[in-house]
Amino acid sequence: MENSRWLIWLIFGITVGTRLLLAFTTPNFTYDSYFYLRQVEHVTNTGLPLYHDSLSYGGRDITYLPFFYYFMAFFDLFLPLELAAKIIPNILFASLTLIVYFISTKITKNQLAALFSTLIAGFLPILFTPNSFTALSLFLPLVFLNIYAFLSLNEKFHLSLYLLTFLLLCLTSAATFLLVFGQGLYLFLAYLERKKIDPSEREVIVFSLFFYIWSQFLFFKNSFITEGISFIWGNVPPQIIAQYFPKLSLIQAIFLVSVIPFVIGVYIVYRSLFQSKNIKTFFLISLVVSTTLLAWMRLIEFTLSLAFFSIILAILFSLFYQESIQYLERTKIAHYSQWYTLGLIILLGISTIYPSITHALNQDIPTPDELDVFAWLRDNTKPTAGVLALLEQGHLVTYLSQRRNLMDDNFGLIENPGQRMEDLGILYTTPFQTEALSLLDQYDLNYLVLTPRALEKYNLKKFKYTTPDCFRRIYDEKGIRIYQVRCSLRRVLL
Amino acid sequence: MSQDLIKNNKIFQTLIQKQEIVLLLLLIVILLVPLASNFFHQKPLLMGSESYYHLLYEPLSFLLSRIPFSFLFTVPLVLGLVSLLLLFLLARRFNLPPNYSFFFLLFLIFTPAFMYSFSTISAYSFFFFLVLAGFVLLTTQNNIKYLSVIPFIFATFIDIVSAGLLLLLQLLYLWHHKKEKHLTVSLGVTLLSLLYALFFRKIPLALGPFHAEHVALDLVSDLGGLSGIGFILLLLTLIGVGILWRKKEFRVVYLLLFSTILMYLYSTETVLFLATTVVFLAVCGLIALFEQSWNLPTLKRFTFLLILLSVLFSALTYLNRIADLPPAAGDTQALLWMKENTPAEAVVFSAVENGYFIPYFAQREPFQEFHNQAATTGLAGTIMNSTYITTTFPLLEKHNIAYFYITPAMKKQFSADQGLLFLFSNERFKLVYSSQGYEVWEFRAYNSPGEIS
Repeated sequence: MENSRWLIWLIFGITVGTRLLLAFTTPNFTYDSYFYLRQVEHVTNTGLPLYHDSLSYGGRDITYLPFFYYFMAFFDLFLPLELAAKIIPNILFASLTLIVYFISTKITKNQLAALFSTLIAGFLPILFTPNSFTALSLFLPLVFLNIYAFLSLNEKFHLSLYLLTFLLLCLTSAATFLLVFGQGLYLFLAYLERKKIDPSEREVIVFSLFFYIWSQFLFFKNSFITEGISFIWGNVPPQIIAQYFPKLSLIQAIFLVSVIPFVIGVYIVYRSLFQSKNIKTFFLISLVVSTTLLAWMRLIEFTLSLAFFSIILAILFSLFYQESIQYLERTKIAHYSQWYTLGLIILLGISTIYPSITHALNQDIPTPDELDVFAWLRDNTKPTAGVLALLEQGHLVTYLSQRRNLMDDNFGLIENPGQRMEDLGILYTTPFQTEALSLLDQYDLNYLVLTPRALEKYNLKKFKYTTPDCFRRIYDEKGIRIYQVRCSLRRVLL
Repeated sequence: MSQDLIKNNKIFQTLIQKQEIVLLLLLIVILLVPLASNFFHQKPLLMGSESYYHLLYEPLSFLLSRIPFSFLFTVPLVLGLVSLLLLFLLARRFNLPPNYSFFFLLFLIFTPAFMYSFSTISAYSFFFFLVLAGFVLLTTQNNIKYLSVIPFIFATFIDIVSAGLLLLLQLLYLWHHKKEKHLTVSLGVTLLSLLYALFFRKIPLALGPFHAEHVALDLVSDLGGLSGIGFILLLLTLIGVGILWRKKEFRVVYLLLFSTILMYLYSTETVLFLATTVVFLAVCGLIALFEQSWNLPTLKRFTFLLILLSVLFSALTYLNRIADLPPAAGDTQALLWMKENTPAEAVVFSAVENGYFIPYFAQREPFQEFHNQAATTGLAGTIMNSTYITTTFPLLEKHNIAYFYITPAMKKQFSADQGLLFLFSNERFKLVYSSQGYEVWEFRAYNSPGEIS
């Protein structure tokens, strides 16, 4: 189709435009983005990753894969960080449309079918988080670029592209495990189905497996030794682990993937798993199966698994379209095929674009008032102060206030995060001042932040233990209060 | 091994030709590193709970008590070196190709289970040595082969699972060498010796445990277990099993693998046997993988290099950790103080991990040790975790616990705001020793109601 090239760019442009529009009209970033902002800022300023953070948890070691931070630090050299953090991730997410188009074209050889996949990939609700600044924005395009390269390994350029993207993936996110596991399952299923696999694919998979393991051990050996097998679950406290690794919810999955791609994708996987003669399709289906298995066994985070799963379903939609059109053209109503195509476009538009925008508008973002408070703390407290805030606000304390927090959602290498989580809850809910002061002394916290979010979360009207003699209210605006701790418990030896 | 990786590579050729020297030197370095670290940190050179168990209890205490403490560290070192030499001999006797023997022994000495067993005094390292010595003698052509019964007899006195493994090995060897009648004699003598050890010496089913066992963590050393096997080797083993599955000549190895897995599931202390079998399969997997010609030869070289680097990295990471094995310098100082300053009949309460250090260094009776913890675990848990004196004190009095040995590890594990550590603020406890985080607390009995002695 001659017009397909400009249509792809049109879809890409619309996706980027919509994302940027929402990103800039919705103020601020999601709560977890502030961790990434802080890390990128540190890389820009010092050239090194912040592997020892003196503010998070009052001082702790972190380990992470550094490529995303260096990638963004490069842009930080030319643009203000918060501007780059809004633009670049949205362009990266939008680039999935192009990558999905190329993959879909490769498996179907049908540009119109591929355009459908492109349209879906541009407006997947699970990925439509324009205010999110996380490594996922780089990870997903790299993964699918890697998959695209894998599908044509006998070409030298694609082999080089595969190796380069795989190297970058191993330096970007440990979630590359999804790809490696999928490749392993692909070999296994091919063996069961007696499908012939290109020897180059086998060799590349073996290389990828060992390279992945070696690279992750290099970075995370301390985490493996300290946390053992629970490293898989990121040392998440037991109180909230169900949020990160929930039971598979079909309804939630349908909503976040959007109904038509989900239903059709699952149908294609089911039908093609044992019947498909196309080895490329078989590979994609293996990835779907592996992602589902890992999510079902709760070995990967639900949002990550759904994101990966949804993009592959978007690609597989092209197969459905191609087959349905071919079927239609053999029937007596073949002349309605154009109406069928148009109807599908409209249906997809309604079922993907609206949920995506709704999802974007419901992102978990701090209010401008919250940000003002944490910025106020930076200007009005000592640099060594410790601040009590909610778990999700922990990164606001370190990034905006540049003060020590009690905890945040980066649990790796933290001893007994469950106990900290419990203590955080106690500090918000206890009626006993002695208990609160004991914990505040233990964690060396000097300020308490009480936001409407905290009031709602703990069903409070105020702290139950704050008295004027021990807790001075130093900020009280727009429903947000900050208390300064003025008392301390001391042990007296008789 | 594929020619383009080995034959054209001078380094590999040299290494394989001179593998005895290379591997011996490598083993010496590996075994000396933790010793050197202990020396510089003024820690006892002899490490690990099991080492001290064998200094206190039969069957090895009789032998080890003849060696001065300052020389005991040479025991595992010598055992390791001699075992390696015996493995070289056996490899030659069984006509193992040089590349197989090189990689097998290289990976074996890099395996944490091997490093751990030959850095500490371990019953299974003795067993390993005795079995190797027995088979070396057994495979000798002249009458010396009859002397093989001696190490085999000694090997049956450790425990039933290891003796069972020895019988299995002998049976498998006999199966392949049916015409050699002396093998039947050897097998018969071993069986008789086992029966004697079982009924008269009452050997246990499996010796130990000497640490808190965890099947997954103790298997994969990279997950922080006490020893185990590197993850890469386990992966290569899976590849090896997958590739060699249909080959009849490897059925013996699968039988051994199955047996050692069962042993390991019963007692993770037997990981050395599983590790040896796994390493062999891993090497078979490695060689089978690289014997095939690859479409992408550059990738082949990189993958081979990656595997070697991964094995090396896993070994180095473990080597870094092994030097942290207890006892620490603070342990010996505190326990030696206890020996000089507490009554000889005092019972000392501490974590079960310290159960063998207390009788050895302090020469006091510990409340709990690993090998008898079944009887005391519940009580120990109650004493450590109860915050009520009405619960804790009667237990302490009933079991005559007069002293508590608290280490930094225990303080990290147990909260100071509850349990025993909280109860130390009671007047009946007195801190009698404190240095570098190591503490000794005395529990004072009442002479009469209300009066502390």
